[in-house]
Amino acid sequence: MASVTVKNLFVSYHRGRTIAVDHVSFAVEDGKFCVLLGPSGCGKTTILHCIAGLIRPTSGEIIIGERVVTSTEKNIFVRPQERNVAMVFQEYALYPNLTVRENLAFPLECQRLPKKEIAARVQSVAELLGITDLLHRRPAQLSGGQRQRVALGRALVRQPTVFLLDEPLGNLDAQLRVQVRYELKRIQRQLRATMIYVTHDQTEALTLADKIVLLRSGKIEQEGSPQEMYEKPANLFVAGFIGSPPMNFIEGQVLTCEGMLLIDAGIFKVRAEALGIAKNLAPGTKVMLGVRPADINARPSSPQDLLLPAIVDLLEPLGDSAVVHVLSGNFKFTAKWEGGSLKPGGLVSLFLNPRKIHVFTLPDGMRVSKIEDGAAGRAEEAFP
Amino acid sequence: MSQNFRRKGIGHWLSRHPFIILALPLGLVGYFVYGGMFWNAWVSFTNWRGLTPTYAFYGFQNYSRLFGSAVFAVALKNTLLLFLTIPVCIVVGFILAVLLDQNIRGTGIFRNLLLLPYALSFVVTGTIWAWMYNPSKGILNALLRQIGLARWQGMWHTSQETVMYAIVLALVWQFSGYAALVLLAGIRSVPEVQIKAALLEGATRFRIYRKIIVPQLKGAVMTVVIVIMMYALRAFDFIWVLTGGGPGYASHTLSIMMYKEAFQATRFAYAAAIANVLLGLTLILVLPYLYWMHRRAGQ
Amino acid sequence: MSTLVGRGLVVTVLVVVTLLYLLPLWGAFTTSLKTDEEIDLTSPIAWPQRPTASGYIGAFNHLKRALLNSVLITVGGTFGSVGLGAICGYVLALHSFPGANLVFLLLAAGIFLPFQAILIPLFQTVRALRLYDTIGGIVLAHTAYGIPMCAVMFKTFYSEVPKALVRQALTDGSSPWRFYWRVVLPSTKLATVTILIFQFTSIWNELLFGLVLGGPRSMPATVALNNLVGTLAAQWNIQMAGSLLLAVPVLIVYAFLGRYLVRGYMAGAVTAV
Ligand SMILES: Nc1ncnc2c1ncn2[C@@H]1O[C@H](COP(=O)(O)OP(=O)(O)OP(=O)(O)O)[C@@H](O)[C@H]1O
Ligand SMILES: [Mg+2]
Repeated sequence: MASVTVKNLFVSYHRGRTIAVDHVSFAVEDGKFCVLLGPSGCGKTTILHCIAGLIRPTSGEIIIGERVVTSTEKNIFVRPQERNVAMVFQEYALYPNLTVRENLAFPLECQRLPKKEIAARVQSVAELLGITDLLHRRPAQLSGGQRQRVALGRALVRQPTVFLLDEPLGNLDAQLRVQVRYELKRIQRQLRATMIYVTHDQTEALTLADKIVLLRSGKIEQEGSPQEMYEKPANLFVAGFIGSPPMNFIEGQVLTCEGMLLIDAGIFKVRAEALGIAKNLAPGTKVMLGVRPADINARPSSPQDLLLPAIVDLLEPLGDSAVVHVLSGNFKFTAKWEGGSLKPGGLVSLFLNPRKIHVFTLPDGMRVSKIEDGAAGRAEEAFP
Repeated sequence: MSQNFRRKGIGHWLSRHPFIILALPLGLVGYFVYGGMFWNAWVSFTNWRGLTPTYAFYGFQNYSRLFGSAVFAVALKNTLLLFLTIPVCIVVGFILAVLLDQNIRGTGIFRNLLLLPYALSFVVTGTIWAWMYNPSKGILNALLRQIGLARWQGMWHTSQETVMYAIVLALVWQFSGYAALVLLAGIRSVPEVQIKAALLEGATRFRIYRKIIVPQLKGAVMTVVIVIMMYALRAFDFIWVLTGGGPGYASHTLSIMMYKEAFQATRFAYAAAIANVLLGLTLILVLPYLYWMHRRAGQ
Repeated sequence: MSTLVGRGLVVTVLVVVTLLYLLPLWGAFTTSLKTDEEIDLTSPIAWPQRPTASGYIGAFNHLKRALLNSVLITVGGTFGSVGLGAICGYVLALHSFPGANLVFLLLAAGIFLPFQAILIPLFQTVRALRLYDTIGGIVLAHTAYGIPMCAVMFKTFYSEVPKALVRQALTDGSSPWRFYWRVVLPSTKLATVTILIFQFTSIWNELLFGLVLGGPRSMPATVALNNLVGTLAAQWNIQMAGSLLLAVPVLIVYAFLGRYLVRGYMAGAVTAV
């Protein structure tokens, strides 16, 4: 296994008119699970193909382990077959004319391994994935989940230094997705494999990743551990993208009142001090306040909690809890509800801990760092 | 409502019975194709000579005469010999398709130029090849003389030994661009991601073609086979223009023989029997293909 | 083949093969511009020293009547077969009725029919209708035998119109024909052009029907060119000029509408043949 470093990767099409990847740099440590996350068309597949060597970037450098495999500056380009990376494609790319066994053996035959070893390795991978019964079938005779496993097996059988997975669960139904997700994580732990995994599903990213790289329009918005991304989103885009149901946003303005800094959000006013932000905001600054639905509760958690009276608009029961859409004034928001039963049209009192409120300055949408972030928090860098 | 009342008449009636309108095309096909087939089959069992309306039932006599005829043996052999065009076109077409598939900019123009002969009438190409092969003034011998291979000059389509091969060569010229087009479309229809995956797994170009692309070309190859085979079975125009079936009977095919018997010798019944043999041969060769298509569509 | 050498090799081979393929046409062209004497003296593929149009004038004089016939036959046969084939294709693709599968199968099988097997009944029928040696008789033959191919091609193209759209239109009270004129035909213009061009070139190029059903008054240019070859065995310039004249409409279509022609070849190949 090996680490992967991407430096200043830049890919443009149509002679520079379309920019698919815009100066992206990140590093994945050996044995870690890294997720490239972002909305459709943000350049995830392009980055993966650059790492695999299927695309030559317009400029930039890629290092796998100790070896520079792509460098436009040093004019280095290692051919894909010599990089020893395995890729699971979005569309699986199983060879329709070969059986499952032949599909699994194909990469090994390309390496001219002895027949015996090929058979042994195919067998052990098939056992690992539970597809020994399917070895004689052709891809057309497999279900979506089975195909997915074969595609994964074809990557595993090679024992590569890096695994690249392009939305491998995209074509599976919800239940199977959870199951294969778990298996994938288990295999990754077991092999201590370096995996770079592409998805646009933030739940998948949060559950699988050691590290998330969140992209938008070819640029990195933020990178970090799932927890960091969830708790300290660097800007409004990250805050809105990560977390389900998505964060509530409400606009506000900084005011001074009798020498105290206040933030007026319309339906509530809150003392800036109570938010625990690490920096004073100038009066008159426009801000966006963000609150995760899970941070809005039926019972107060501290004496400072803000009280929000609201009318229940809609309920989405989830079994043990519910997502409740409420109206407070003319402001709509969602909350995670774990209390007693509610009826649409009824009144509720909701409590919100001001410490949990995320503050973003407008119009740039950058996060205002908090005291508890500590000196080394990444979000700090946004406020030099 | 009032609109509905106003819109009566034939248009209204047709819209209530939409399938009536199929009567004309299906009637034409029914009469000329299927009616014609049965009529022809019936004629083949008579002794009808065409110009006179009288005829008598003749049983299998036309067929027994036919199967004993030396000309028929030659025509049948030549018809099957034309099938030689098929493998040659597939090999040539495949090589061209692979060359055209190398993603080199501007090579699309070659695909279009190579297809040009296929678009032309067989009467045009037959005339041109008659001149190409002309032993004294044609291109072929002239070129052989120019490059110092005068020994290789031939009589081409005017010699009994070589005429069929000359025809096959010309047909390869005319059909291989088409074969390349169909095979290229087949190659291109292999999803690119499979090829990328194979590249990544360390497969060489050669291996990718052999193990992944070629096995997925079954449909394209079948298409080429059937199109050229259908042409070979009915092959008339090109040969008629180039040689008229000669020299002697050397380039007679079933269709040439049938035409001559019917419209030059006016032995309609005998010609009908030849046509029926041709029809039978077509059925034998095409039915398995149709069955295969049907099964593939079902998969 | 990512190396420069490989690319160069591929392009070289393609250029050589293409030149070889075009050699007969080039030779025909140069010869058509030469005088009889020059044909005897110069290499067949050399450009003529004094290009002359006399070959073309001679060929045109022989073929002008037949070329006009060909135009009439091709226009009539193309519109006949495409129009009737479109109706079949439309009904088969978008309106199911009892026996539709059988009808489709019989139509598709019609494509494989060798013309020889119906030539005698066709000849007799056309004579009985007093259409022998008339443009109408040849148009009738092309129409009848063009329908299966057109119907199958149209069915393939029309099958791409969503069935739900048809159901919607019919429940909205549209008649099937109004739906065809207003929705299907305008949204499948490409298909119509493709099939028109396919039929146009096939009928223009065809020999057998013209040979059997045509006479001196109605023969198409293919038959006339063939007769010309028979009578003027030694006048290669006239023969080559005649072939190229006959090829002109196809070459024009090829140059300007080649895309559709290629599409037609692919559709014709994939659907049934
Ligand atoms: N070959 C190409 N030519 C031109 N533009 C391209 C090409 N490949 C990708 N792009 C563009 O680059 C951008 C990034 O594409 P990419 O496939 O990497 O997105 P993605 O993040 O994988 O999206 P998805 O989630 O939909 O798979 C897109 O805007 C796309 O249109
Ligand atoms: Mg993608």
